[in-house]
Amino acid sequence: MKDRELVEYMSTFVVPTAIRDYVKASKWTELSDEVKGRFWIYNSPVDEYTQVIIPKDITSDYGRVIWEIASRIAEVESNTIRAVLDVLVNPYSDILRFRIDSPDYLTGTLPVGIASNLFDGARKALLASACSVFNKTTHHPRMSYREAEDLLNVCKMGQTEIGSYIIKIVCPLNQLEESPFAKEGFPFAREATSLLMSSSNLLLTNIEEDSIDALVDSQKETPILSSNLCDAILQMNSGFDRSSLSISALWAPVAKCGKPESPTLLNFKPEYFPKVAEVSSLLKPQNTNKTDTFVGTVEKMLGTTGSEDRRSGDVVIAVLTEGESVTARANLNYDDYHTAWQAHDGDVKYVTFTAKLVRKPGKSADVLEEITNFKLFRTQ
Amino acid sequence: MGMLPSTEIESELSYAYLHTVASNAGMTCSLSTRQVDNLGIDATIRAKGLFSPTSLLRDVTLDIQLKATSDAYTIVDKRIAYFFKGINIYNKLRSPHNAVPQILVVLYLPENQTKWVKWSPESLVLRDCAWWVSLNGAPESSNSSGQTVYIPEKQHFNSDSLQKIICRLSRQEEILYEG
Repeated sequence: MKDRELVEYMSTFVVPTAIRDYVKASKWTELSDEVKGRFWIYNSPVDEYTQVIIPKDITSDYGRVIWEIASRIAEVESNTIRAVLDVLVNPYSDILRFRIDSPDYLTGTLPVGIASNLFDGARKALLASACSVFNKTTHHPRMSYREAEDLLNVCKMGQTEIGSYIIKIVCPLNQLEESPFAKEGFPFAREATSLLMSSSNLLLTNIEEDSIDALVDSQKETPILSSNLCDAILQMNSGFDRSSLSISALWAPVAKCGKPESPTLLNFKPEYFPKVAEVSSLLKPQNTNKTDTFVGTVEKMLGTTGSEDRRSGDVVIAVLTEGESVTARANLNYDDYHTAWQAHDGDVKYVTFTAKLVRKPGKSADVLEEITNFKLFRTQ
Repeated sequence: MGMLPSTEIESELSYAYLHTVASNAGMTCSLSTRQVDNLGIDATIRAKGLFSPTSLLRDVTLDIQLKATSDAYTIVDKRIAYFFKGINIYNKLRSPHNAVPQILVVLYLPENQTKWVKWSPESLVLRDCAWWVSLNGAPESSNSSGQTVYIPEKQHFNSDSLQKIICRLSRQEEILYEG
């Protein structure tokens, strides 16, 4: 399929109201005179002789008509028809683009492992930002907020684009219930996308101004940048020796919340990535394996029956720490295992204990060691 | 030197005719893609301007289905009878549910191919003439291969008539089949 034919095919996915909302938001003015037939007619904001005629219904030549409309909008905006259709197909979504510019991969193909890192890194960048909307911290141990995962589930991975290697995440603003944590009138998805851009910009600016220490100090007071976002940026770039990474945002044109002040294009040059790694390291808690008292719920009982016909062994506990739920494995003796069983199957759902939480990055669960004072925890 | 078959030459000359007429009328003319061609559209005319005091539209698009033939034409009751091959395209052109108006333009060339184009230092002449007709609202056909359509003899396709068509469309007039 030729490029123009592909674009015309895309146009069949555009709904009439989306175009109307888009041109209204772009300051086209409606012709309210006696329009015959079921059409909206809008005059261009820049040229008194350019108009779009939008059918209110799906006509037999619909794809062709939408292509015509998109070409006129593109003409007015000095944009490509493809880019205009991207927006018209997703008018209520922010679109994030992650672009790797590497002289090694100009053919537009990547080794599978490297491509996988790029996709996973992009996903984690958005997830980290969504977590930071809920919990402004410099490090998310697990990035396991349900709302953040819900956002990832409604986002769509767009088709890759030609131009080095570009992946695209489409983030709908209208598919999640309003989060209690989001600013009034600001959809949660927009909070996440705008935070991704503003915190990445903070990182970029401080690298360019050689003020990493000041950046890390500022994050102790009012954190908006997390080590997780830094790691995601590093992951996207892993496998490329001489590549730069561009992150761009196209804000949903018809969102009632308007457009944020966050930048729309950021470019991490190859020499910036060691600095990103340095910032990531400084943002992580320096002593993660400290002993503490925890409260949690027993999720799985994995023990075995011992010589005294009693059970002991591994249990999986969901531990609340640093505002997040962390899954950790604990090896319990007979008595503690019995207590865990009571919490797992009884009325009292929580346990409390003192232990050392040992982080296991990349594993499905962390590990609890040196467990003492393991008992049921009764809520009021 | 590779030579086009005569039907291809007819087709190319019809594009040249259309471009000439549109350009002379101050309009743009673009060729269609294969996908749009499936809709019965060979080219698209676009005109911008204030066409008349009662015009609502200042930016008019007109789709063209182009045909060319060197068969002699016959006039019946002040109408040219033209056999339109391809019933699917005929049905698309006669559909009242198209958002962009469409017309059929038929270029008649002399039977003798050597007379199609004449060049001299003074002029470049393309013979004979094209006519236009809107098939919007034309009757359903019971044929499977094509349908004879009737083009009013007065509907020559030239810059003046094209401007009049655009002017009517700018007033949101519906141009119906008069065959």
